Amino acid sequence: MTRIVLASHGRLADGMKDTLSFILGDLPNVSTICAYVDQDVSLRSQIDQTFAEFSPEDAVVVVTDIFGGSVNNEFMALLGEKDFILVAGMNMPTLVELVSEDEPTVEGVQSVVERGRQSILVCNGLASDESEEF
Amino acid sequence: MIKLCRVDHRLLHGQVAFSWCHALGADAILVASDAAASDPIRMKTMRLAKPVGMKLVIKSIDDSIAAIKSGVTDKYKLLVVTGSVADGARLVEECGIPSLNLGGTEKTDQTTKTLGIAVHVTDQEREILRALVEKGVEVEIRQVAKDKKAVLSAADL
Repeated sequence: MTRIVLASHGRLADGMKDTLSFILGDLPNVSTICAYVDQDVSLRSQIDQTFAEFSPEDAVVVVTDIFGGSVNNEFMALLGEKDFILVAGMNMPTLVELVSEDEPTVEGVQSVVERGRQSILVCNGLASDESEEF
Repeated sequence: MIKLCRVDHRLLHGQVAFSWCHALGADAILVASDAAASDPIRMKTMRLAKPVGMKLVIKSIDDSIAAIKSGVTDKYKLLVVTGSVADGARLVEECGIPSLNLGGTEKTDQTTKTLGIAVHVTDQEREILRALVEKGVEVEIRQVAKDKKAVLSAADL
């Protein structure tokens, strides 16, 4: 199955999952890693624990909060070691699309990210399409 | 064909646009609402926020019923969203739709019963829904497509 891991500094990942569930319903295949919330738990151990629950056939997509942050850096270092797709810069439009993706590939996720990017908008002065008819 | 007829006071919003459209494989949305069809700002916002590649038509209740009855909507996998129980009941009855989804109705001073999460109804609406159920229309509560369908009986109302 497809596994999506949301990983963030602090509780953003849990909050994202909460909002995603509000829009899409129950999401059993979405896991979260909230790093540095508990000083005694290392990020690496959280990652290992999360991946330990997956089976080898699972397709895994990890989405982190920000490129260049320590959470994303930690996953970048693991790219050679584990098989997963890594996306930095989590946001709702991308996640909504990603969760609806059936069998994610790097190319597929790339186009999901592209569509998500198009939904990040300054809304002042947006022009809407003409009205439609059947 | 009509894939779903939904009552939702927020009309077209995140749950509808992302959860329902995807789950139903819908290619068109009809927002059937007198209030929305006469509110340019609301229409503009909905048009901007509609899912990519989806046809969005906004009509008054009378015009919506006329459009569905005329057959112009038959070729679409259509999701119909309307703002109130009374409007939903009219659509279902006049267009012969077999099922009505209750997705959300606001809690107000007049609502006397909560039928499920986010579904609050007045005495008059309970009467309308009871009549639908007695006529054999399926009345069910689901906020998002993944929720378990809670079908209401007359006794639940």
